[in-house]
Amino acid sequence: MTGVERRWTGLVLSSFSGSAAGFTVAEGPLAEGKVDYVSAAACFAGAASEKARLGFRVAVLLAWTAPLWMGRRFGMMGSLDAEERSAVLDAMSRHRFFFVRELCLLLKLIACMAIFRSPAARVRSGFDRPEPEAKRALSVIGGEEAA
Amino acid sequence: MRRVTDEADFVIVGTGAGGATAARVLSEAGFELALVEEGAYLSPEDRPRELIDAMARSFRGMATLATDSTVPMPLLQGRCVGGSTAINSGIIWRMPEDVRDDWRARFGLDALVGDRLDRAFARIEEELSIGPTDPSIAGEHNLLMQRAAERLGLPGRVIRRNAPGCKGSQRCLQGCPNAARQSMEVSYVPRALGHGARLHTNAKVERVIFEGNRAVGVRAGGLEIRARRGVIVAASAIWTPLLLRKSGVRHPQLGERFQAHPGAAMVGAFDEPVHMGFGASQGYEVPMRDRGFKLESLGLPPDMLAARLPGAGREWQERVARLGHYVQWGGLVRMEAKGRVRRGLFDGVSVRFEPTARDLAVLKDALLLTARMMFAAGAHEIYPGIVGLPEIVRSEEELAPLERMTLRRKDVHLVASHLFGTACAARDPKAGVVDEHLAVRGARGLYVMDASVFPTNLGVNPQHSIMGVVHAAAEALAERESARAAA
Repeated sequence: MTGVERRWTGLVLSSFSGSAAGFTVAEGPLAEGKVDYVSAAACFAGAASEKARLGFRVAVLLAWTAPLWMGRRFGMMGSLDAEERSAVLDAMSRHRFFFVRELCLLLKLIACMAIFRSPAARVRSGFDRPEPEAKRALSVIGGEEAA
Repeated sequence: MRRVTDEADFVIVGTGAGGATAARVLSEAGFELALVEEGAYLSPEDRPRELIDAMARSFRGMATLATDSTVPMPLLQGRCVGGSTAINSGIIWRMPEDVRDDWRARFGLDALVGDRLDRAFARIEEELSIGPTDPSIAGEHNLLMQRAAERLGLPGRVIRRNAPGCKGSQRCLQGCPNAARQSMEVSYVPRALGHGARLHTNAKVERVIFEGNRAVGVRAGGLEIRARRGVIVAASAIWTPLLLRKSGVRHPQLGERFQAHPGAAMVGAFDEPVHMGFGASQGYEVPMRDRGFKLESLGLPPDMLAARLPGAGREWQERVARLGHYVQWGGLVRMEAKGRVRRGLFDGVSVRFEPTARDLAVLKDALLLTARMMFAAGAHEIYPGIVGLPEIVRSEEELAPLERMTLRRKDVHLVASHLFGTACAARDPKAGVVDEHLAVRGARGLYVMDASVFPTNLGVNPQHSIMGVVHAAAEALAERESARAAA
């Protein structure tokens, strides 16, 4: 990625969580952890299909220029504050064009993969069961035809 | 470039459910084997919990290979030793009887789906310790689905898996850290290696080498492996037809009849904690075979779950902070659509596949039932991810628009796993790229042993059917070759 792409990628991906800074989720429940969005994006781009790599670049460009083409403001993503950037991404995720929604979903997934690379974010999300907790049994119902 | 050579009785291309099972059968029958795998061998230590790092190593193209369409559909495949068995949830279903009857009647495949197949299933089930999900590692996301099925009187069942020592670490997708799931890289591949087979990894086979019409080996970059008795291609329903075509095999049905079980999922939010990070990734299912779909609990990593939560910014962060309160369930559809696989501009492949209107109607039925099950289990809101519905649905009444609408392809995000066809088996030479012994027509010593040979999709998870069919065919091949050697 070029320097410009890194800057755009970092700002766009961090905007899903409403971050004020490029690489840090600086407020809200995911605070405290450092999230390296650019390195996650580079990891994705290094392993993704050619089509997806192209799609990712288009997605970042679309998101960066979204304030302009969505008619919200004469400016780019970099000129908005954190709350406004999040609002733009939210609007993209509900856009009437399938490809805009899908590209936004791709960006959101990469942002999530960057966030959950951090063990601290995972702990704060409550996704895992706190230990210890009594296990509950799944009753096995009869007539399993595959046996 | 210096060419490295190897020689064996059989060369097997691919180490997924098909290739590894062929290796298990042929190596134990005493044949010398060389296995060639495009991906790497990943030990449990090589498979991190973090999704992005795990997918970069074990998934083909980070799961971003997709159909060619204005509404592309991602195609999930493993790319490592073990193939897709190394990234799936180990769900085991025998091939349904109606599918076997159909294959006999329409494709003349009596030999392929006869008694030998039942014996193969029984043997595989014993060897891979297949059984119902252990109650102690059920996990709330599975228990809630069971609760919903019971309340609605649906024919749910505990999923049978090949994971006898599962600890409920919920990392099937990234790779089992305990090697509990008996995917091919921890079961049949090591077993074949124990019988003397050799494994070449990180080697993408570029073509099958022929002398006349006889397949005598394969070439993979600087590696050339000669085959004394035959070449077995088991590179998946996408890559097998491309390799055959590139190697000069011609048949009107090669690359045609591509089929799949595409699916969509939705998220439900519960007041009580679910903690999807614990439990069998997929432990409960509701097969609705008569209606053309199957619902499954989907214990996916937190990244995938969080990406499905609506919103952005503070609102989204607040939802993510309650990630322990969600379930994700999805529906797989046995679609009637047939596509095709060809060489393409991007990634060397072009997959065309478009669901029919009937397929989308079945999908709508599946999604409606999934939503109703979530409410029956006690969800206070669900995130359906369907255009035309509110982003957040809080009651069954709010599902009414979905009931009324004609679901369009672009209204929902679909993902396709379970890929079939493209080198169809049939007794009729015009219909089948391979015959009932899975031998490629027009070539000698060349076989296809993966889901490419399936003339139809199944409506159930295919791993066991692939293994069973290949087990039976490889056993018959071993008998023929042994008899030939003795003569």
